[in-house]
Amino acid sequence: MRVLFLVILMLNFLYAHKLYILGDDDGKTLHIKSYFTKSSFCQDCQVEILDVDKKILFKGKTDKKGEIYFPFIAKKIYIDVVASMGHKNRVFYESENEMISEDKNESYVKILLALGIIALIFFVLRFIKK
Amino acid sequence: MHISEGILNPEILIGGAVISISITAYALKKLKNEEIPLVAVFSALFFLGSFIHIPIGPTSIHLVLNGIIGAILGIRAFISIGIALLLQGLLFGYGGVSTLGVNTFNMAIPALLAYAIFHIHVENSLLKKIKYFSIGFLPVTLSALMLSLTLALNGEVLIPAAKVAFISNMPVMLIEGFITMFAITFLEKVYPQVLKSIK
Repeated sequence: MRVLFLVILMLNFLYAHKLYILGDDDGKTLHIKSYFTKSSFCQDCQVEILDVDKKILFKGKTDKKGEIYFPFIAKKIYIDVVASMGHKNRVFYESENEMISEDKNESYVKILLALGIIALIFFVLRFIKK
Repeated sequence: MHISEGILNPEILIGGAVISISITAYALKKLKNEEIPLVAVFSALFFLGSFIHIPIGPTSIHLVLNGIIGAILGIRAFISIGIALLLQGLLFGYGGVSTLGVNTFNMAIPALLAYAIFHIHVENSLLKKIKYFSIGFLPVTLSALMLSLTLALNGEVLIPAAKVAFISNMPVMLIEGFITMFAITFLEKVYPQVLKSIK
């Protein structure tokens, strides 16, 4: 009974210090949350985003809630989180979302707008020159 | 080739703005009513040229097209390029309003060189091809040189950036040389009036 109690205690201890990493994205932004337990967030922890070749894409530190956001630029990545006291974990993250190029549609609108403005400027110029 | 805001010293910004505004005002005065559509088309062409990106290694470069614009428009290139740069700065953050004068100067002065080259009389077809290539090649080279000089004039800190700016634009010089050569040859065949419309 005593041994079982010690094993449970040890497991609980190990469980409490396991670093969990949750990743989520909406096709534009990658959201990472890191924690030890539901009430113990991995605050100010070093986060690295690596591509499939283990090349670092982004680096940053989590906030008080153990959260951090990065631009979503690759569907398959590794997420490394390093906390104090040498606690660290790495997870492979694969998104099912298609990458959304937010600026693309916006850029087309701006290009059309600019061409319209150019036409308008020269139309006014023609009117003035008459 | 756009210099962003907050980099250049005020004296360079003011100098560039004064020169560009003066030449643009002169060009506007000289502009004839029938030339306006052509100037507008080239303004749109210059604006769109910046969005045609060519991947070179890990980076990409974009077309400038100040050679062909200058060859056809002459001093009116200041109007086309100035308006296009203003819209690029306002809508896309390429360059900026405070650097508009300097950027226009760096792009449009080499366009005048293209105009001068275009009016050199050449009979031989090979020399003609070289001339058309130069109309694309030399203005971009001069623009890159002027851009680098502008950066270098702002102090030693920007000298490495000035070198990078020149080197990274070297492929554009060649690409524009060939594009301009083909474009003018094509225009000469299908729409020669456009090459003679502005004097």
